[in-house]
Amino acid sequence: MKAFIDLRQKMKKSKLWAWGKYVLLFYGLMMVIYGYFMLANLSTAPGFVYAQF
Amino acid sequence: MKKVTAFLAALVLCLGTICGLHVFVNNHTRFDTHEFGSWISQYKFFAADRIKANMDENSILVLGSSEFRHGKKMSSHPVNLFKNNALNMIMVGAGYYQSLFHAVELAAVEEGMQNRKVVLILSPQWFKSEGVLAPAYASRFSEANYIAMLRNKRISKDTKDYILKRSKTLLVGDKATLQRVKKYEKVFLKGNATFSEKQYVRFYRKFLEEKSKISIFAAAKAKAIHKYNPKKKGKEMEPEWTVYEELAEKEGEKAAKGNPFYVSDKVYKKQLLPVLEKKKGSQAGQCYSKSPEYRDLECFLQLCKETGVQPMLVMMPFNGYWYDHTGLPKEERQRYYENIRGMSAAYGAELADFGDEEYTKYFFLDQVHLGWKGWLRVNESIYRFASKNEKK
Repeated sequence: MKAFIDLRQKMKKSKLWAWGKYVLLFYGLMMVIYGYFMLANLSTAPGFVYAQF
Repeated sequence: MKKVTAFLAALVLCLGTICGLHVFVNNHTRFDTHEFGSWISQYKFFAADRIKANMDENSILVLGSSEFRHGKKMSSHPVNLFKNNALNMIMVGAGYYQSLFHAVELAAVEEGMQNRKVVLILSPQWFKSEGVLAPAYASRFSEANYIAMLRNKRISKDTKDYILKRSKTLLVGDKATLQRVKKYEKVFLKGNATFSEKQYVRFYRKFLEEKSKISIFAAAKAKAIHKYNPKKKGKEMEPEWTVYEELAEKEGEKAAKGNPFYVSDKVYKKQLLPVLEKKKGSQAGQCYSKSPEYRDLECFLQLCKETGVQPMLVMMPFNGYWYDHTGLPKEERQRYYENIRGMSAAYGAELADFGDEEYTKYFFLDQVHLGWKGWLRVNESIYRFASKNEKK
């Protein structure tokens, strides 16, 4: 437990970690946007209900 | 400053991930031939380059509509009948996928068709007087395939013009797509696009290509489609049609339970019985002999001619028992058959003519979809067509 608290304190003080958090945040956001554009149905066609017969 | 450098670092990481994904997906979109062929998904239909990548000399492109989804439990459904066979049907189509969509699809994939043969299963219902419905066409419109069609140098300007004109008419309800279609026309057909329009189309085309690859990969994973196994080979043996005929008779008889339309009894009780009175004589004035769909079909056949692909039209009959009930005159049905016969003769297309099977028991699963005997007859005709060796 102590080791964990120490690590947390160290990370809080670390400039690299503070910068790395932003990198991860931006990276996550970019990947979410990329995933959305790649996987979402972007069709702008009006809705159509299958009811031929 | 810290945030700016973090953003740039994230951007580099993101680009690296995207490049890695691009390479990975490129190498992992070759699927099990039968599973891919019988997979009915818009992701597949819209990814012409993946269809091309998954075709080999035993593959035959089979274009149709909603029949692929129905009756998958029947032993005569192609999913089951050709399961262990070397012949691999690449099925493309679901409800409302009609001649015009298939013309564009064929134009987009024909380059990858090694046996240069295509089958188009025609449903009589496509040939109602209004033809393909605009909202239906818009919801099934693939821009990636459309661009591939426009870029296909083997297709004449006249054919492209026809597809363009029809598409523009049918896409009126989808303004954003229509605007892009007009840009594609300028870039690929007229050559009068501005620099910015060219760059936009170039970027958007690349985006669509990437999107179709990623989405087909994700959809195939979700559907648990296995990857291609070169060791897995199907039997080069013709199915025993007489055995299947007996099986179809038995399965049909068991499922129909003696209902007067010789269709699935479940369908009869759930869908037909509740509307039986309402539907009686309801189609007395319906016209199937004059429809814009005929011109779309002509365009499809013309496209086959220009690209050197040998087509076979499968002419599904009307369900005689049902359409007698709804009052569609026999003469009108005959006119439809004659139109298709004439068109196939004019374009030198092979024709699997099932016009005389209107009253074959268990031919249909419901009012319109192929049943036990219907699929069996259609499969046999496709198998014989695919097995013929002579080149046109």
